[in-house]
Amino acid sequence: MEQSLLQWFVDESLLQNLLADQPTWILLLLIVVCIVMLSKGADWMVDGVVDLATRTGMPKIVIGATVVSLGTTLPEAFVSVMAAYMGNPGLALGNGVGSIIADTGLIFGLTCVLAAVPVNRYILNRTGWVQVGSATLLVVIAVWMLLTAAEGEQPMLVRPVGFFFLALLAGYLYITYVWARQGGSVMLEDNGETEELRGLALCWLMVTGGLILIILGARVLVPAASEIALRFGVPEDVIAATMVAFGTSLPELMTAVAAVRKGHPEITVGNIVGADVLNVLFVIGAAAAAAPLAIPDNFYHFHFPAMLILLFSFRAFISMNTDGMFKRWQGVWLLSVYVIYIFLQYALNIEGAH
Amino acid sequence: MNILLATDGSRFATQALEYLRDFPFPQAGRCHLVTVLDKRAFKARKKSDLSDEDKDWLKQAKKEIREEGADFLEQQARVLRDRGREVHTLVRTGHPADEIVQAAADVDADLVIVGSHGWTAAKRFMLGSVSDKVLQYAPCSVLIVKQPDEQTSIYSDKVLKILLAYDDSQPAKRAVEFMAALPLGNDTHIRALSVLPVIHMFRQDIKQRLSWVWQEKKRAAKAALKRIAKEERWGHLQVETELLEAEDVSQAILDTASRDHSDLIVTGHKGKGAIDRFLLGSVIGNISHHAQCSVLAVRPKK
Repeated sequence: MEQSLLQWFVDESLLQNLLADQPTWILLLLIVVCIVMLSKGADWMVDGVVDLATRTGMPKIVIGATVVSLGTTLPEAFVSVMAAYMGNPGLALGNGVGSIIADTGLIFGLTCVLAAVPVNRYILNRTGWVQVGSATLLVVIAVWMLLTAAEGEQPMLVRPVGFFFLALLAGYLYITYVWARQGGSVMLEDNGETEELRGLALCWLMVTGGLILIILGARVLVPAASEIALRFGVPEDVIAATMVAFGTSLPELMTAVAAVRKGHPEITVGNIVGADVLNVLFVIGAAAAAAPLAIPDNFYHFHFPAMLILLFSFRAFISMNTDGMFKRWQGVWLLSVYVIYIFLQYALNIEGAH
Repeated sequence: MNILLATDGSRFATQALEYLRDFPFPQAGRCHLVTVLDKRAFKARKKSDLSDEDKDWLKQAKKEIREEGADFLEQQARVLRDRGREVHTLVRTGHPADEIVQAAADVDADLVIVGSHGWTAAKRFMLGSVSDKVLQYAPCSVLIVKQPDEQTSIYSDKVLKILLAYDDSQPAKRAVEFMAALPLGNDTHIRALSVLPVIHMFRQDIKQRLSWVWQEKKRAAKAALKRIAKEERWGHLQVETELLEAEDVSQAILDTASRDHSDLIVTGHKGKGAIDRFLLGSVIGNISHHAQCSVLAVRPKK
């Protein structure tokens, strides 16, 4: 029994085969159930984070950048490490870079367009640098590998780089903790209402329980939706570029939707910033530590530049917004860059990063 | 071919002996039978706790056990000598796995044969498995003999069915060389199997299969399989090929072996480091634990 459970956990093809045998209406039902799971999970998590923030005095943005981001990038990290181990470097690197682009361009852009997002400059000024810094470091190392690679050899992210990123990850988590402790006392968030707060244990339970629901929901939703799309005759490459690519960013999206709806967009900001850092240090780091990642050419002239444009715009917006709010046009800018990126990827027939 | 067979007198070791007797190994070369007296069985709390009388008794007991071991090996050796093989026997004292590995180096073995107790994962974790350690540390190829209890010969059927797990790596090529050098009879079926790993999570397999890297890989794997099947050194033997895609490579190999009722799984030993094994697991380790049949891991002599 325990062995078969473990197999379900490890071997996704079992789930896929099971889904493939179901009639369409069951799949549709399953999709609805998954969406409910995702939104309920996100609701719980956001509620948990808000109370956790008020109780501990830690800013929501910090919890968003650490706990929530770790949770939402976990599926990506898992997929990427598996891909790297199985000798599929395009998938591992693509998932990391593609998620940064989707998180910053699509999800954060959309959040900015739809809601007023406050800039917590005290925190963002510093974590913003880490966010831009880690991605830039990735590109710098990649370019360095390109320059030092022997003639006719593909540039690689070698395993020491992976371990280096993982070490940086530990440092990042520690330093966020230190900053949060310094910042926590300075700026307790203005939570005017004195509602009854949940206990600490319950908060954690809601955050982790919510995360588990989100991850499980995304994990079943993507194959179920893909199966339906296949049955309706949607071409495979379209599915790959939309649903499958989107699958790993789904947790961030659901968190963003729930956070905005409940009026705590700071969580989204934290989640995006944290997810960007973790995508480099955790997802790509762990994958490179498992097996060296070859860097395909199109990353240098397409995916890396797109990522840097988005991140440096984001960084510039933080500095520009002295009045403490992200502007709507800034969201539109991020979103347009993302749309152009996707369009170009199709038009130029570039192998997807995401 | 120099062969070292490790025996502990259990029925699993007897199966290993039968395997050595019946399998078409080259006649040339020596066979060594080794048995290891487990040192830990003789450990007293402290030497000084023992009276002189006890010490004498212990000495005597050790000597007797050694003699018994030597007699047992001679008996076993006769089985092989009847088949015209040159057989030497060897009794050693110490930790079984360490001594087997050391003995393999001492006698310059090309192949170590051990029986498998077929322990469950829990027991393996608690006790540690000798065959596991030999598989990991032996300075040469290792054959782990496993037979269903009801099976009386080394073949389950009239023919010897060999499943060759091939991934076009250097170790896999060595496995092909090793097999091609054996005097295999006409009653041998060889199936060369390659498994390409796909990731099903979040339907990444759709993305993966669309990429040119994957197409390239698949084409290369097919070509490699075709190439080794056509090689001349197989002589009269027919080699079938099969290419699979699966999430879990070792599981796919095991499934194919049980579907075909294979008698032997052959694969190259990659010699991964301890960290890699811990993080990623090893295909050969998984196969040797879970296979229903014998497993041969080919690795170059150190």
